[in-house]
Amino acid sequence: MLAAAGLLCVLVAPLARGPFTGVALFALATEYAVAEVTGHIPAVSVAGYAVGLITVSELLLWSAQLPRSAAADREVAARELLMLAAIAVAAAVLAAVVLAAVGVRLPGALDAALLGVAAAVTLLALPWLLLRRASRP
Amino acid sequence: MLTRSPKLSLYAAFAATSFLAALVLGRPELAALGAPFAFVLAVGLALPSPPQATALLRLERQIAVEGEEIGAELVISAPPGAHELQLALPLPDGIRQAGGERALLLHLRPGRDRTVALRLVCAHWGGYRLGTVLLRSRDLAGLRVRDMQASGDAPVRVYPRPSRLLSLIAPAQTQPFAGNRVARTKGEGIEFADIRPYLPGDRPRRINWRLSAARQTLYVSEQHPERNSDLIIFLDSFAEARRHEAGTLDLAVRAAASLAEHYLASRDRVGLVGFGGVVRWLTPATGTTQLYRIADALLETEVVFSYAWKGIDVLPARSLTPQALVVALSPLLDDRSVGALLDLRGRGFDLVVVDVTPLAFTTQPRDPDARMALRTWRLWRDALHFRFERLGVAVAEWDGQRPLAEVIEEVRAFRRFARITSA
Repeated sequence: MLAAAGLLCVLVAPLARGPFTGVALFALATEYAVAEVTGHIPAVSVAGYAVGLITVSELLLWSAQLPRSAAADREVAARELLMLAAIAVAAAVLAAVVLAAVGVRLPGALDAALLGVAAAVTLLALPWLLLRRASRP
Repeated sequence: MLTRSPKLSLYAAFAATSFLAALVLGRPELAALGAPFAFVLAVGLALPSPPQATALLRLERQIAVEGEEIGAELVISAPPGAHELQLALPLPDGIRQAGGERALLLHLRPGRDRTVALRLVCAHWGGYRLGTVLLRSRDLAGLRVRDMQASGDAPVRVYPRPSRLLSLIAPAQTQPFAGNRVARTKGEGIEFADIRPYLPGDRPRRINWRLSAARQTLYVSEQHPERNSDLIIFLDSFAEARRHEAGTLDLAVRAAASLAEHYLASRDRVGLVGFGGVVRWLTPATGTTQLYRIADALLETEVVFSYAWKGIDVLPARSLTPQALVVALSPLLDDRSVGALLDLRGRGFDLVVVDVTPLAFTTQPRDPDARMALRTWRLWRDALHFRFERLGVAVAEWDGQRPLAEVIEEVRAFRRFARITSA
């Protein structure tokens, strides 16, 4: 059901120019999460799914920010496709790295706790740092 | 102005949610789903913010005629770090970009200027100021957007396209200056007028030898002299009927431009009286300079709402020269302009009224009362036409659909039998 809604949003988003991209992204991700939690799909598939998800998001967001009627240079489209390919490759690698990291077993409980705290702090600090940087001209 | 794009918020929210879900559900695979989005955020925000860019619009020429295309150049200065630029040219209603595409998505080479050639179609007469260019650049990951506005000044004057006229309305009286028009009076000229017996003082070269030989007494031939005439274009700008992009004032301005061009080409003197909320005038003169003066005055014509009662007394005497032909272009919507025209006729001016009919801009109402009101209004307009015609004033309706030449012919046909007077 969620997947159908997500796919519908993917189809509608280029026409609506923007608002459905987020809905599509979250619907598809939730569908995957549900399938993953209920154990219907192998863990490795997350790499492919992540690549697909980010590729779709990039394409939808790019189409939303394009003017309705515009004359575009060919180089712009070529650069965008190159960028998309680079992001897809990076996404696949990153997802694989995260999956590999899951298999790492730490020797002690203290190391694990320290790593957990560091990860939590990074996770909380990252949005703040990024948004602060983005607001600077 | 630098702003965050929706992509930044969406990716941040998605990455945070997926990480949180991974922690809560204890499923690290979900973190792998959000990791690429966090990566794009981290890398994108580490890159430099979108650079400033400027653009300048240069027009090939500043004068055009309605319907013509003019070339334009957009010179874009790309600073280091610029790679892509979205560009929009906000154009006024009367100007549009050929091809219909208003926005451009340009690839830039950092540090190098780029010139883009554009074609602008001058769709409607008027004076315009172009030069504002809207620019949008974004960073490499598309997370931040910088909107800029380049304000330039590129004025362009679009003159109304004159209609083709087959003939012109001949004035009742001509002026004393040489021109292309055959005067009604007799004098030195080319056009044969009459034959009369020789009188002492007549020049021998005017003797009609053939007739003199036949009658055995001297006769001389008389000619009509070639003179010019004065045309006063009386443009009523008290009120107009408008529907969508067209209106009676547009039609009147087009007709005025056509008449001015054709009469000036015939070496006549042409003057302009803009009679409305703002009264303006141009004294009659001849030549190309006068044509441009009239065209410039027409571009500035607009309906200015006013309650003040105005008669032709407000006009200086030199703007309405004696023996001039006055062609009024009016929708006959305002009592002040109707009164002024009747006053002109009462003062003996040779007057022609081109009724730029507002009926062309009305729709057939469904309501019976409204239909009755429309019919009554039509009757009132017919009565007004009849009132003018009774005074010897030719009235022709022009709806903009049929050629102006046809209207002129209608006026000429009426004037063949009308009582013509002159001031």
